[in-house]
Amino acid sequence: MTIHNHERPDTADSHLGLFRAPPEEEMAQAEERALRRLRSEPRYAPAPARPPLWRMSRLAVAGAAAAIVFAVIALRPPRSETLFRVVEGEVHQVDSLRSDGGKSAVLALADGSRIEMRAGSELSLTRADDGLRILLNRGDIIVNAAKQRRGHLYVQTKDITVSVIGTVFVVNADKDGSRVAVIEGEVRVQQGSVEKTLRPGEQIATNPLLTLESVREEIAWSPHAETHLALLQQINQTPGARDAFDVISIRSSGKNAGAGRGGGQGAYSIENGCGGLLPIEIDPGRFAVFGTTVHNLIIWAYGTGEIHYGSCINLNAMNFVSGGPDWIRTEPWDIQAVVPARSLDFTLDQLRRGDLPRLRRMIQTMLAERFKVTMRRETKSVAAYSLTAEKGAPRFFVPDIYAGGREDPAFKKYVWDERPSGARPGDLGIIAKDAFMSEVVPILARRVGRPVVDETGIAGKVDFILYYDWAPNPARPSTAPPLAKALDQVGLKLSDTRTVIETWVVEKVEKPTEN
Amino acid sequence: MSTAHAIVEAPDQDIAVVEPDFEGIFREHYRTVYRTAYGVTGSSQDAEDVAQTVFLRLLHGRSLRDWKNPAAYLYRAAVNESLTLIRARKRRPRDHDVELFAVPADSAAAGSAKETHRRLYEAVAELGRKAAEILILRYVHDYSDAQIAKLLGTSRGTIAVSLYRSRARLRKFLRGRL
Repeated sequence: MTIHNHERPDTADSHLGLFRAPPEEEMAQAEERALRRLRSEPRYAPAPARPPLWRMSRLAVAGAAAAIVFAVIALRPPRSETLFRVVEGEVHQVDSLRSDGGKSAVLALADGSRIEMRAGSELSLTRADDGLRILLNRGDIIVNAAKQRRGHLYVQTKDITVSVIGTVFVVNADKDGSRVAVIEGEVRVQQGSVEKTLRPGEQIATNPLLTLESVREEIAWSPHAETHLALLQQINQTPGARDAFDVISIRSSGKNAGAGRGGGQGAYSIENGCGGLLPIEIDPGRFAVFGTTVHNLIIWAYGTGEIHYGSCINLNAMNFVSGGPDWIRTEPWDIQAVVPARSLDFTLDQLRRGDLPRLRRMIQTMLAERFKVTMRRETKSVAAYSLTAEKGAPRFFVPDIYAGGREDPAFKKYVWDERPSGARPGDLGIIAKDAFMSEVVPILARRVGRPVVDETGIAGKVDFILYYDWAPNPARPSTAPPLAKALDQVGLKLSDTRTVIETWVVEKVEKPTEN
Repeated sequence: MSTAHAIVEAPDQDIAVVEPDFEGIFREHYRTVYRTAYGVTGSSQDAEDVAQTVFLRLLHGRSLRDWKNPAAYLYRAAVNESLTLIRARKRRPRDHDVELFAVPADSAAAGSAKETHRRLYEAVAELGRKAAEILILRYVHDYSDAQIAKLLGTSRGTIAVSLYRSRARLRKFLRGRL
């Protein structure tokens, strides 16, 4: 390395000479890995050498691919696994599943999909070779289908089959026919040889005598109807329509720390672990945060899935929202806003889960109008962990601190982060009871600060306890092992990999005029 | 450096169109991007991460036909992405489990060298993007003032001034941390 100056070498210059060259072999391997990943991208333009018969043989290629897929499917051994868990209400299982407890019920499927059953509905679940099949015998269901990594999710009634890859829709099976309405995404409805594609807000009935209700009326029975409708409104939003707070007060926390606080009756307070000074207050008429950064507001507004009020640090680490000046991550703001009458309706549980699409849009509008925020989506390749399992994993290993094992008081919920009593600061547990890996993996990802790709192949429900030292510190020795060792105790392993994720980039943001 | 192009048969039309050859561009520039990212971050993993992101963005976000100077675009993207990564890491609390998967602590000497490198990378991250671009071209890729000026489309004088100022800033920054 040559230093191109004639000054006397000093600190900076000697350090500049320390820029290192990468190991050639590592670089060559990285190049090949990168090219393989890029070739798997849908937009990848192939190299120019293309056989002249390419165009003519597309059908033949498709036929061969279909034959291979068929062969793979035919040779795959049948799976024996638990397909669902009841997460709300009561369901009785005889030959089929019945929500006959007088109330609706919600089933969670292994892939993360949720099925909301109207009271009196009846269905059965079967594993098809190309996905999961829900046979709806009677009643109404709302399906929130997780994105299917392999195959499809099917809903079948006596006269139609609905296939989806990832969406929210409602199906009704009546003695005279079936109705399907779409809330989000797209579904394909097949009736005999006729196939029709439905988009948000569209619906179809198999029998002309069946009355088609509006989607709002179709899902009115659901306790989560407001959430579904908000989703639909978001998708069908006309240019003139918008979700916005009525009145907004924004002040720098430095000038006004905590002033004006005091929620109305019935306000929910959520401990804000994301840099705020005081709990977040949200009730149907008011939204208030104190000492919260714009970055956290952006994560709440643009994030998908749960709002991890207590885990923003990990989300920051995962870099789902990047860009923007430093002040959006450091300067705290007090924001109080009036929510338009009758525009929000939610339960505390929905609030905790972040199941509030309309509130999210209101925060988006506020960010756009007062902070002049503009955002852009971006696909990124990021470092991730691959989670793999030994044969027979996960084992039920009992750490000393959970001496009761399956009878331990901590072993009571499905999946949760937990800190057992008597644990040294920095030691944490993860409990998975009767849980699907799709529920465990997001928690693990937040704990390690990277996306985790589930490659365990575990389809059924699992029980295990992890107890580990999340911040090893020689000055404070712990009896808990590091996470890698704790995972090893239950037969799981994290190893380096890469994955492609969708992220948000802050393109523009300005400090607001305070009021 | 020239842009790679390929003749590609348009599948649904009976004409041939000229498309830039992504794979050719990838092969031509990947190592420059990787070396740049490695120079800024000092880490193979980060360099791979940055290079992957830069080419993914290229694939998804830009029309290849519009490229006049892919070398400059890719180089700038590599520097910017690397600086963003370093700055984000500085902001990120270092109390997460990622650390648990790191290799065991180095010996004292290796640790000292590692610390020196870390300080250098942090110091570079304190520079403006343009200044960092020029600095890395000089000290990682060993370009002359004239070569840098040609690549970035500016004058040799601008490059010399930028390098002088960057060195002065780094000196100040590093002294404050020694």
